Amino acid sequence: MAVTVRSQVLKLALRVDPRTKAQVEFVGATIGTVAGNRFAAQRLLDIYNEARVGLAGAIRVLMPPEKRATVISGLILRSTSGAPSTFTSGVLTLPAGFIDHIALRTSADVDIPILPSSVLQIASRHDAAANPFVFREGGTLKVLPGSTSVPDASDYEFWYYGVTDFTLTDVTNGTSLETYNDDLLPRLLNIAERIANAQGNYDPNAIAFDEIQKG
Amino acid sequence: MASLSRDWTAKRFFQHALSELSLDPNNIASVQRFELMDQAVSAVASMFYDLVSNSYLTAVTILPDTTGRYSNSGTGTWVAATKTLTFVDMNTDFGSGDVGKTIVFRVGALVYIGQVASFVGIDAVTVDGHNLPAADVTVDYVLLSSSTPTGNNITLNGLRMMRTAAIKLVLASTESENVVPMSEEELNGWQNGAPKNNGRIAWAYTGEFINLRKGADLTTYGTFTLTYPRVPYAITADTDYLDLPDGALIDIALAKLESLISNRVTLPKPMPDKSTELRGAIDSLYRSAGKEISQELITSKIKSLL
Repeated sequence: MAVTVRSQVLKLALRVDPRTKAQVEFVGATIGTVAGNRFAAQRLLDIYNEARVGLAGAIRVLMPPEKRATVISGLILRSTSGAPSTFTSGVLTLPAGFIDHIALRTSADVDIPILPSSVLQIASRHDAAANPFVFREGGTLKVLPGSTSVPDASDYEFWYYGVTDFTLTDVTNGTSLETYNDDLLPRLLNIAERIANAQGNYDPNAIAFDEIQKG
Repeated sequence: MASLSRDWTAKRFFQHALSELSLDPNNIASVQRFELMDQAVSAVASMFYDLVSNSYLTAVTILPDTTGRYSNSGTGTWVAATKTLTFVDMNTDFGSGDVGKTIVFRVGALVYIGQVASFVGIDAVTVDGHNLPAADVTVDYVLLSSSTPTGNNITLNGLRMMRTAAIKLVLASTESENVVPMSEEELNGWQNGAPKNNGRIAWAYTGEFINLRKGADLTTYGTFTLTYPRVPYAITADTDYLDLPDGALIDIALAKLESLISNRVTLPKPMPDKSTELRGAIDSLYRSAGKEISQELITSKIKSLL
């Protein structure tokens, strides 16, 4: 969380594509602006962003919630007033970069459980103002049809794990920080390196799973 | 209505259970939490009712219904399939106290007699009896007797009474200090004109009713106060307090709740084994009440809880 995006992408470049087309080794000033021998600047960044999403997905599956909340604490995001924590016509659209939910609460600190749609029929008879809940459905959180227990409003507090893609500006400005916890950064680079070299099945999730399970 | 616990709100209780099971609230058990907590509290209260029954004794004022009714004007309906008689323009509304009373109604030239089986609403009752109309008909007139054929009664419909333990009912009247409980058989043979019964009220508990007789010197039953063992109050909000005495029973109910949750949600780690803790809690509960309980019975209770 104290490491810049520029530093990370530079490290990746030095692993998989260390020189520019002019055969000059990448440095901080050139990373993100000129193409390497193998990858254009954007492509290299795309690989890095894929690795970030893959790592988050693997951790979500492999680690229990308590451990996950510590290991990727830097990815925890919280939306307060305004979009995307707004329910409109009973729907809240999940924000870009959403990986997994943590909690949904009202401004009065009332918990609203987020349920899978598979339990809709069981849950529906419990719907009441004192017992609100919503369902995950595709890229949204949805209120039970016809329910008024979660009214349309824009002041819900939504906690979630999110990984938003970095842009080339994040690389070149030298100030944008990587949100992953520092101890995961070497592993992140390993995943990105393997994606870049297309080792095994080119599936960022599968590569990430393998990296995490190495211990 | 004050619940028995002073320390444990529903929210605190449920969150405690989730915390011990390493669960967050995003699961179906959280949505079902009020019912699950009711189930846990009821199970524990019922299981240990011999220790806590006095805590649940509740007094309610009851008036026996000695009012007859008749139809004023217009017509009513009889629905054969449900045996429901509906007449909107009665002189006074039907009530739950009409159950058991004799009812007579006219349909054209035919007159029917039966007994009120249940109270449906202020305009309707269901009727039991022989040779009642087999088809839906229009009812021309209704007469309802002022009392049951055997005397007066009090209906216990609507009372949330603990029925799975030995039921202790106490009935007191403003009209007489001599209110005597007896069996239904004894009540049937009770003589209200006998000198010793002149100032007495006799009663028998039967199913959903308390049947009554009064001695010849009494003109009314007065107002009754019935003390009965109630069931725990249901939880309807996170701010409600549990209707269970604070102390070891809360720990026992917590174990029961965790067991109920584990039946609905895949746990991230094995449920903690509370058998030893529960055995100690149950043993100390009985000792502190000055009662004995065998180890076999404790084992049986623990199996029921978990």
